[in-house]
Amino acid sequence: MERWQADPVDLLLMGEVDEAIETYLTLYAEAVEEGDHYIGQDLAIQLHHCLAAKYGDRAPEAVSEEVEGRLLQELERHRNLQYAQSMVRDDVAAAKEGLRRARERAEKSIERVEKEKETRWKS
Amino acid sequence: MIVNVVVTEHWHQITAHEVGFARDTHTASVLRTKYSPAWFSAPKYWKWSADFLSGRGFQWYVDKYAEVTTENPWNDVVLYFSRLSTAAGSPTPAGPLYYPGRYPILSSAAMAAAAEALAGWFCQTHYNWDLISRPPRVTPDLVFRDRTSKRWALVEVKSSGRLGDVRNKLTTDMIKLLKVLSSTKQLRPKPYCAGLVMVQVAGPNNASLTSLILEEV
Repeated sequence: MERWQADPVDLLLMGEVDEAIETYLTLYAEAVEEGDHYIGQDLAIQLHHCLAAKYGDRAPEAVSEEVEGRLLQELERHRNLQYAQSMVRDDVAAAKEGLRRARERAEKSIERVEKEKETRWKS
Repeated sequence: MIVNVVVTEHWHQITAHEVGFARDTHTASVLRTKYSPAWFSAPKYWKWSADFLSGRGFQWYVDKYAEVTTENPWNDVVLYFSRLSTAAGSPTPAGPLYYPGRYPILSSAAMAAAAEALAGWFCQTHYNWDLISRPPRVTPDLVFRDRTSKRWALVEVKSSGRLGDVRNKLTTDMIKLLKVLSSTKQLRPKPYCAGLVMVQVAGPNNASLTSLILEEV
């Protein structure tokens, strides 16, 4: 059963960040070409992780501007693609919101453990 | 370490009508009673010997697929079953800080993380899917893409420490996932797959994995 071929998350885990970035940019352009506007947010989230990993000293939410720039640049390279810049901005904005909530959840996870302990004490 | 996984696989095609019928409790009831039995009509059974030491090791799949940060979650599962049998009176040696008669509690976080890792590993190797994303704080748990067909698959993973018939649970959770799929119809022209993978931890070296994949047509 074992057949191993690196997917973009494997590439990220391996530290092959540039290759992961290229993969996600290509996937985004392919999605736009197919008229798929659902998956863009997920790809944009992953690009935030990739660029944050590339710099090593920034939170994912801090690289939103660059994510937007890279996506627009990638779409420009595919000359015949029909797309709206607002669509890219929407995907990046939604991705940034998702990351903000993930950060909140991570920060609250300790608070949640403490609350669970208190609940046991009360019962 | 080898974990013996009993796999039950369900794969079925689903129409736009059925996807749309996940919209509310009334239509979902029809979906459940009239359409969902067909989802389970042609099961495939087989055994997978998951070698945790093969390739990049089980921790790679934990880091890749699990939501919770953890290391070696399966060790916690093994420890639980070992202490459970000792508490029940089996003559196994007690470890430090442990005494007979203390009933252990299975770490649900460890079980969930181990289940997510196993489920992701399964989808990756058996269906030949690439993991693209693990969306934070929303459904689905995992977004895959088929390497051959380039079709996207939205997958939810569930775990349990109990064995038993999971079809009811899978149906309920699949209807929730279909609701998500239905809400995305305006944004995408091509069909997706919706997947539920349920991992039941049966013992220190045993698990059951049931997959339900619905392919939009």
